[in-house]
Amino acid sequence: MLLKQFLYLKRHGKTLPLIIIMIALIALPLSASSSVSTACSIIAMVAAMLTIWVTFNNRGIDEQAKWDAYARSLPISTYAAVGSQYIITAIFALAGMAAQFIVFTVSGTGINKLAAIVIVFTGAIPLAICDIALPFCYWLGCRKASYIFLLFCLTPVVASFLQAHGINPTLNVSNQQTPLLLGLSVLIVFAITLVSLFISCKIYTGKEV
Amino acid sequence: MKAHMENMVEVRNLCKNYNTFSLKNVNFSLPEGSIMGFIGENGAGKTTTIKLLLNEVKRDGGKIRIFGMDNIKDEIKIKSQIGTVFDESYFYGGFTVEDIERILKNVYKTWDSSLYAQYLRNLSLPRNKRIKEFSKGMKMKLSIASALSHHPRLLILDEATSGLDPVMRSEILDLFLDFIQDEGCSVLFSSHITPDLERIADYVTFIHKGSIVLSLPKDELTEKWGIVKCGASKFADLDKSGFMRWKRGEVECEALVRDKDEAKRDYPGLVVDNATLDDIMLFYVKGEKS
Repeated sequence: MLLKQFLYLKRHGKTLPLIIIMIALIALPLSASSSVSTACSIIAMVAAMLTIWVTFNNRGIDEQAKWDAYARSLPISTYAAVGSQYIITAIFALAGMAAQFIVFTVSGTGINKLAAIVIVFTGAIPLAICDIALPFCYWLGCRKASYIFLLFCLTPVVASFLQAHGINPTLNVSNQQTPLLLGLSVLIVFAITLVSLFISCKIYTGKEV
Repeated sequence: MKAHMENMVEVRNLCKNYNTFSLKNVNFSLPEGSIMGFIGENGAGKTTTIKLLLNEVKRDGGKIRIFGMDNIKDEIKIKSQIGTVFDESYFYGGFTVEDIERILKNVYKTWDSSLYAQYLRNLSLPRNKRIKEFSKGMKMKLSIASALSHHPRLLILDEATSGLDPVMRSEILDLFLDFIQDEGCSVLFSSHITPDLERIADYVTFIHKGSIVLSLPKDELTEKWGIVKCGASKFADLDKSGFMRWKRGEVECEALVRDKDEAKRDYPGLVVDNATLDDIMLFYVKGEKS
């Protein structure tokens, strides 16, 4: 079923290689110069956008074609049918991390504490967002599930509220704590992914097509 | 009719309850090497039964055995030997027939690329054209080619010929007849186009309001069952115990009988016609019963 996900991208995502080439053309010269942070910001943003877009695009095509009704007649397990959606999401999240890694390497900055945080969170944040969104996609459909992105728009409001009440959500992480924090972040996102996959499979199996 | 060894599909006391509709104690068997027409009006429960066979909806009671195995416990094993065709194409319009093959080749271990290519050639399906450019008939042909190219033992068709013109339907029915030439294969064919079933079916199962009304060899229905016709006044005096169902008109009345030869003997002087599957369906849906 993973092949189907790539074929969707091949047939539906002609613009995808163009976006990647364009980002590479912008990010690589910036990373070679002193503007590494600009390059990283662009990559983080594009990686998040692409990961979410691919997830919603592929799931949306399945929905439009009523693929699930057909897939349920095929000799494939629920985990294979639903899991392929998670794998394609993870691949794009990992590609974003790889792009960040390349930028830091090309720029000569090396993988220091900040670079490691940026690399991990470039993949972890969009993956976690998709993990939250996918069970809703299976339950309510992609269009309704996309409304949960409105919740992310509330992030600045929450931050302002916390700051107004004297709570500073930023963490002061020491060099020693960084590997622990990153390891923990990866574990948390991995756990969220597994829970999300489990919920999506339950919804997929329970849904009468 | 062929000599049948065992049942490909056995449905026993199958139940499914929805708020507005229930499938009640559905029982039927599909023998190996035969085509079963599954008929009934829209909303009678044909698609629900097929979805239950494929475990696409959860049953509330009963048992389903396909190839002698439980349809839930051995779901993957069973589905690898089944080909399914629904009333619409579920393939993404941006795909080509080659993309479909790439996907299904990874799904079925027994996928036969040369057989698929042969079907594409015979059915005149273009390899590089996108599915969204296909007509409804071409999409249906593609669904059938995809369903047959992994050498299934059982073909399940849900309204596969509805909405197609007679020429296209005839071509598709020929495919099913070719498929059934292999004695070990069977077809369960849900349709409300009864002439299609009269042409190819060995057995007919009729479902009405969620219950099986009859499940019999087609020849018995088309050759033995009949319709007794007479005037309304004469009909009032007739003994109706031998009638399955009847329809009263202001001038003429008609009654469905199980044995037209017997009816000719029992009701001398009355007209006794052959009954088609359409007639039988209409009598059960619209007719009266004492």
